[in-house]
Amino acid sequence: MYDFIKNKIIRGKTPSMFRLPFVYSLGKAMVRCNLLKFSYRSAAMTVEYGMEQIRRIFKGRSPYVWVSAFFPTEFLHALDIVSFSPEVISALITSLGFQNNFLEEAESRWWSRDNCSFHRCAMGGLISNFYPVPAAFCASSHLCEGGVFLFNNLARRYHRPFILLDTPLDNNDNSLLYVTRQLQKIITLLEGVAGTRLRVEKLEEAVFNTEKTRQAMLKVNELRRHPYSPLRSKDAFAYLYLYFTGMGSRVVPGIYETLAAELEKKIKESQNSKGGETSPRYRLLWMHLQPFYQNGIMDYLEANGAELVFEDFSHVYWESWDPGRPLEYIANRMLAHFNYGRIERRIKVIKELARRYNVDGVIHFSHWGCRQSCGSLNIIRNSLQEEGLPFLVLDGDCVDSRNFASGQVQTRIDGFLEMLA
Amino acid sequence: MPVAGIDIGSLSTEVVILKKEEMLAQVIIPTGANSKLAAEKAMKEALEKSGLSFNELGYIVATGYGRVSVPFANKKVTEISCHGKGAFFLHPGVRTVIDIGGQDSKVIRLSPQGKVIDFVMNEKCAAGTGRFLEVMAHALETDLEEMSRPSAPSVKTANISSMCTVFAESEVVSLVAEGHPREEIIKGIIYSVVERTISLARRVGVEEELMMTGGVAKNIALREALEKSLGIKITVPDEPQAVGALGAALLAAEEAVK
Ligand SMILES: Nc1ncnc2c1ncn2[C@@H]1O[C@H](COP(=O)(O)OP(=O)(O)OP(=O)(O)O)[C@@H](O)[C@H]1O
Ligand code: SF4
Ligand SMILES: [Mg+2]
Repeated sequence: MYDFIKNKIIRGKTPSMFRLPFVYSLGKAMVRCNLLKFSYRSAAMTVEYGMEQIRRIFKGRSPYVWVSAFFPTEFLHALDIVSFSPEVISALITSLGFQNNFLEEAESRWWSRDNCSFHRCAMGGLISNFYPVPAAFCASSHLCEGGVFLFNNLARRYHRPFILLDTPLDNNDNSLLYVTRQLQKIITLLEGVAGTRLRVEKLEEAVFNTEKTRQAMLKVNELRRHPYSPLRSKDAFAYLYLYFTGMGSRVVPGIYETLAAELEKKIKESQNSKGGETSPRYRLLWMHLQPFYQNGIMDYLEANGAELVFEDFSHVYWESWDPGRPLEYIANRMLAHFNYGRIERRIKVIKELARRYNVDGVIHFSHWGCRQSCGSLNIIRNSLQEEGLPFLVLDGDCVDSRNFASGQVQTRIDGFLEMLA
Repeated sequence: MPVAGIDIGSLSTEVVILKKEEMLAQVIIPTGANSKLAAEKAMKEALEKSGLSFNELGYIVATGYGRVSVPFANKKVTEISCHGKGAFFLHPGVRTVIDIGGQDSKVIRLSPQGKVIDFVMNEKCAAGTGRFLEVMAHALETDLEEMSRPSAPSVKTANISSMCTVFAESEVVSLVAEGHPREEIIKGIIYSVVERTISLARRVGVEEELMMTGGVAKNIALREALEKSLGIKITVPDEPQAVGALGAALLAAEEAVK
C-alpha cells in the first residue's frame, strides 16, 4: 500500500505537496473509490479518518493541538478540536521516506540524536514550517517523559499554552481524585483554545464512544486468539492513529466494529476452505513499536514460519467504568496503563498476553532513546524465561534508519528462530 | 559420507571437513574483501587437504556473517548455534560460550543437552572485539603477538576511557606521547575489552564450564585477564577460531542422515 503511494504518487515530489488540503480530499476520494487498495475495509476507513484530520489541520479553519501519546482526547472530540499525534505522524512520514529531512532539521538546531526519533522528526517538521503551529501542546506525564519535555520546549518557542496532565504512578483512590481535579482544569484551558464551553452531553457522548471503542477492541482481540485469525502485528500497526487520537471520536468505534466483523468473516472462510491458512510454526508476541521505514523484519519472520500474532500496544488496558461519570472514566483510563507504574503490572500483562495468544516467544523492539519501553528489560526477560518463554531484544530505531544495522538484526533473528526450533 | 562446515567471518574464513566425527581437514584463511571468493578458496584448500572432490561432500552448512553469500551451501545457520554446537561437542560440560571475533562478540548459554537457551551480542560497533585489538596494535606499531603476551602483575593498567574505536586509538597515541610504558597501555587496552565482555556476559549470566571461542581466544593476556575478573577458569580448545566451522560441520552431519 505504502509502496504504491510512494512509487506512483510521491516519487520526485517534495514534502511540501503534503501541505495542501486538497491532496487529502483527493486521497480520501481515492480510498472511497477503491483506487487505493487495502486488505481490510477497516484499514481503509482508518486512512480516511486520518486524512480527514490532517486535511483539517492544513485547511486551518479548526483549532488544532498536539497531543502526546495517551493524553485524553475525549475533551478534544467533545470540543471539536483536531488532535494531532506527532509520534504517529512521524511514523507515517517515515513510511513515506521523508523523515531524514526533518531529523536533520532538528539536529541542526541542537536537538540531540540521543533523543527519541519520533520526537526529533516531529520537531523538525514543525520548525521547518511543514506543520502549522498548533494552538496548544497537550502532554500527559505517563509513559513518555520525552514528549513532556519536547512539548514544553515547543510551547515556549511558539508562545502557546503547554497543557500538562500529571499522572501519578500508583493507581488508587487518591490518584483518581488528583487526576480528576486536573482534568477539570484542563477542560477550562481547552475551552480557551476552542473558544467555546464544553457541553456536558458532548463529553458524555465522547466518553461513551471510548467505551464503545473499548468493547469493539476487545472483540477484535478475542478473535485474534483464533488459530485461523489472519491479523498480524504488521497489519495492526495501521490502526495506531486511532489508538492515539481516536478515543472519544464518533467514527472510531465503527472502524473497530468493522474490523471485528471482517476478522470473523475471514476466520470462517479459512475454516470452511480446506486449504485455509494453517497455524504458523511459531507464534510470537511483539513488544513496543516497529521500524516504519523499509526493513523487512516482519516479512522475514513470516517467511521463516514465525508469525507475530499479537503486540502489547493493542491490549485493552482499562476496565469499564460508568460513562455517565466521564471525568472518572477518563482518569481511570489514564491510571490503568500497564506500562506505567510498578513493573509487576507490566510483567503480569505480558505473561497474560503470552498465555492468551499461546505464543512460543516474545520479541521486544528497543527503540533508540525510548526510556520507558527499554527500561527493566532484564526483569521482564527473567520472568518470561521462568515461564520457559524465549525473549529476544532487537535494538534499533523506528524512525531513524541510520540507527539500524540490518546484518546484525538478521543474525539475532536467525539465532532466535534456531533457538525456538 | 563426508560433510563440511564453512564459517565466513568478517576477518577470517574457516572450513572443516568431517567424516563420522573424524576431522579430515581444517583450513583458516583471511576473508578479505570478497567473502564469496574466500569461501570458494577455503573450500578448495580443504578439499585438497582431505583428498576429496566436491561431489563427495554429502552436505554443507554455512555460518558467519557471510553465510548468505555461499552459493554451494545446503543450509545456512547462525554462528550462535554453530559455536554452541562446536563447543559442546568438544566439551560436553560447557554451559557458556564466549565467542569474540573480528567485529562481533557473543555470549551463548547452553542447556545440559547442548541446546542454545539464550544469547547476547554486542551492540552495533566493534568496540571490545578483535578488530578493536588490531586497530590498537596498529596505533602502538606492534602486532597481535605482543598484544597477547601476559604482563607481570606489577605492571600498572593505563586508563583507556573511550568506547569508540576511533577515539580510543587517539587516546592510545596520546598515552604513547605522554611517555606511558607500552605494556601499561597494552594492559589498559586488554582491560577495556575484558570490561565490555563481562558486562555482556552478565546479561545472560555465566554458568560453568565456560569456553572461549573465536580468534580473540588466542590472546592469552586477554583470556587470563578475563579469567581473573570473572573468577572462573576458561577452557580454550586447540583451534578456537574453527569452532564455528566445526559446529557447522556437525550440523551438516546431522542433516545428511535425515
Ligand atoms: N594468533 C592470534 N593471537 C591473538 N589474537 C588473534 C590471533 N589470531 C586471531 N586473533 C584475533 O582474532 C580476531 C579474529 O577472530 P575471528 O577469526 O574469530 O573473527 P571472525 O569470525 O572473522 O569475525 P566475526 O565472527 O566477528 O565476523 C582478530 O581480530 C584478532 O584480534
Ligand atoms: S518511542 Fe518512547 S520516547 Fe518515543 S514517543 Fe514513544 S514512548 Fe516516547
Ligand atoms: Mg566468527
